[in-house]
Amino acid sequence: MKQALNDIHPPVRLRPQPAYICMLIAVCLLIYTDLTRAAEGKTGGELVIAISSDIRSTNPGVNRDGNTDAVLYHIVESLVAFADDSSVKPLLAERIHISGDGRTYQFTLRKGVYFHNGTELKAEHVVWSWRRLLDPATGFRCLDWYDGQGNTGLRIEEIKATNDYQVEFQLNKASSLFLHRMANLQCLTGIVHPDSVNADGTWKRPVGTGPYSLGKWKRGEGVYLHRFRRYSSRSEARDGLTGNKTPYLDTLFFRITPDPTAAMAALFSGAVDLLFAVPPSARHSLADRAQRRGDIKLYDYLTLDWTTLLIQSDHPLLGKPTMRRAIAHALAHNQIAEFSTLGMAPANASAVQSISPYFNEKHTQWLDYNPQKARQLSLAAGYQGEELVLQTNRKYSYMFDNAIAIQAMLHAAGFNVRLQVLDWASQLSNFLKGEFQLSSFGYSARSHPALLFGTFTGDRGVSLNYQWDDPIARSLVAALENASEEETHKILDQLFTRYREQVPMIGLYNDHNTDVTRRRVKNYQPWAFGRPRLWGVWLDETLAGKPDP
Amino acid sequence: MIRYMGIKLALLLPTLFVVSALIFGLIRQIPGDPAAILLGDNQNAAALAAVNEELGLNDTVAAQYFSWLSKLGSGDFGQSLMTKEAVLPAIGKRFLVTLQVVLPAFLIAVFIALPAGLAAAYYQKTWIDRLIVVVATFSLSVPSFWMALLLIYQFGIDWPILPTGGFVDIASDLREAIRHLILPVTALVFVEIAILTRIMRASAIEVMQQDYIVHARAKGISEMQVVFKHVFPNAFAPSLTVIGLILGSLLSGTAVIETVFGIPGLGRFIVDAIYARDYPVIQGTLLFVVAIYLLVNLLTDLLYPLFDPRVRLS
Repeated sequence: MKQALNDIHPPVRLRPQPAYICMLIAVCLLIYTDLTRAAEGKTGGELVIAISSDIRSTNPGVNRDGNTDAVLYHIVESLVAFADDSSVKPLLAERIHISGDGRTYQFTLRKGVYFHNGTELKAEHVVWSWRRLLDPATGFRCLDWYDGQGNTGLRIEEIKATNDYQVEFQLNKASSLFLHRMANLQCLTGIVHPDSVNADGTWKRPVGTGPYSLGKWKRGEGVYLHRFRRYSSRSEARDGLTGNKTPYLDTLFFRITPDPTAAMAALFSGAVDLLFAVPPSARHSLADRAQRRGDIKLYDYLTLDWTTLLIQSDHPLLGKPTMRRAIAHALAHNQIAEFSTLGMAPANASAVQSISPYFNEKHTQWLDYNPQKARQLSLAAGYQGEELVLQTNRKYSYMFDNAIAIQAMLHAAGFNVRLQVLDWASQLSNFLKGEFQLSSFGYSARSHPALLFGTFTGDRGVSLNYQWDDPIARSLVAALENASEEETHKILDQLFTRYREQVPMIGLYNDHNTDVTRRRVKNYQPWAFGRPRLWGVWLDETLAGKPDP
Repeated sequence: MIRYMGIKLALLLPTLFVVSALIFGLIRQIPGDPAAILLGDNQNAAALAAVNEELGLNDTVAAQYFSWLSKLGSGDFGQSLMTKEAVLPAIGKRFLVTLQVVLPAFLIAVFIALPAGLAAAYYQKTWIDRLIVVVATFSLSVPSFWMALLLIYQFGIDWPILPTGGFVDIASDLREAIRHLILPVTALVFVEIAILTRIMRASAIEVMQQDYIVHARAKGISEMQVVFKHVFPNAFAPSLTVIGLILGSLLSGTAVIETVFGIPGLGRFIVDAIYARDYPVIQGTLLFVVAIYLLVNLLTDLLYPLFDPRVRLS
């Protein structure tokens, strides 16, 4: 048969011409060069990132806010870090071993990791760093997560180096959320070298192991970071705050640009390369510019931030579950999310974030939009048209936009609602003191739904910032501390069912962010925590100022 | 003169003392808790209490005031609650930045507005006067932030010849400093020029109707002499008070311009501190601003007799 085919179609044999070989080698070289470039990026250049306000300090986890964290996680690294899917993975640790009783965590460190002062990272540095954090004199903002004073009662009993590259943490009890807390962005547990402090123990400057080292902090103007040439990156692909974190840019300049319009102008002029978390109101003009001129690129993504309507549980009327359900029935979640995020984020009433692996169909089952039912329930609760005050602020545009939509919908269902626009400090203070009736609010990103539930569920006798003071809910949240994956799913479902019955507050949606870069910025990828990651990013100067073809 | 200055300077102290008490008390009436802002949403009652203790906010207001006042005497304005920066050096740094923006703007505004006001008065009811009045009214009506944004879009984006924001210290790079100052200074000049022009025009018109001007003209002296020897000095004296007030307000910071252009000056410093309820910074900066106002007013008082011989310092 084969012979027959050969007879019909004799095989063609190419003679190895030198020209063909040369062309083949050239093509292979081109492909190789391109792949190499894509894989490795180009080193050099300065990337300017607009930030809305100055950083608070260079002391991780101590004196901080969102901008401070965003700068500092480029400088310091923790033993573990969040991955893109909000799970926790090793960063400075090579591997983690958890004892059978869940009380001992053994971290084996990666070898060949260096601090910015050239010292190799050893277990003793981890011990020193953590002991410093746990010393009340340091002022670590999340000390109560680890010293037994917090609502979980978790305490680190001992930290010791078992050899040069191994550290052991001994806890007073098992906690499946211990690593999540350790990786938390708001309370960075970055490992720093003792050179970071003065002889008297006061803070000097961070000497970390991150891909960038601290350059100059010009107060009121911005912060310069410089590429750390001896940075030892993990070999896995970039993943959240871990994986490959190779720095390509010589300098990062976080430039303070308080006015959003001026920040956009700076982006258009090329004075700034990256704007992150631009307000939805600005997105339209940015998208228009991107389409017209092609010199900028937009990145849309969902975050773990959760926007809510808080309802005062101590109020004689609003404290009644019937009245709270009435308010919930008056709100069309989808429309609020559509209005406030321009259709970029789906509604989500559940504290289980819509991009969380724990989110399932059950968490979409919220109280239906039914103004008629809302009227009936409010009457049944004894509401007679009294004025209700809804607090909001202008600092966070989504809170203001949500409040506008909520007020309109509540009006349509027969509620008499007045907006009270405060500055953020006043609203936050009222939140803490429980001095509000309704409040358009938001919770910043938590990696695990259990942490978010823990933020608003608790004893109001202890703290009025707890919105849900229900013994069963509290015990369920406590049970999440040490639950298996399967149990966690079940408990979260139970919590949401109970939450829907009692309506302690009303979740609206997980926020949507838009980041914008100049076109010359390559390989930028936003992620669900809503702050920029600038390792693995490089500049293609050949594209500076040129539109897309 | 020296006695007058001595009295005025001596009066500064009780004024500052009263103002300091007012500032201290009033700031604490604003709702908002610095500890809460410091902690963000990672907070609970225990953490708040601990931070309040750390910041010294658990003491009574009176105790806090006297503690602050006693330190003021030795030049210690305290430490920022948010950034832990010493307040007085921070004010000094920010004030130097504000000076670099405000002084050129002020001088340019004065050098344009005074002749413009004089010209408008001299050519009263002619097209020159109307043009000057229209331009002055327009620039007075335009909010400074809007003018700033227009300038940014025109000269930073459409015709990109100037930086859209940021600040470069004159001492570090003169050329770049000037490039960075052009837009904010222009925006400031645009607004300030209008007020000064209108005041100068009104004063000059009033002076030009006086008998001594008619008399001067009747003597046959040139119009240039009439304007610059007789009208200008007499019209300038009333404008001096306003000039002093404008300079005082500019030196205390131009928060809007500083925010739009991202200039780390005194105005933005105060605004940021107010939003953060950073009490030591607010107190220290406002006290500094009051002192600036008082000193500029004192300077104005001292200069007055030079332009209006009828006024004697006593």
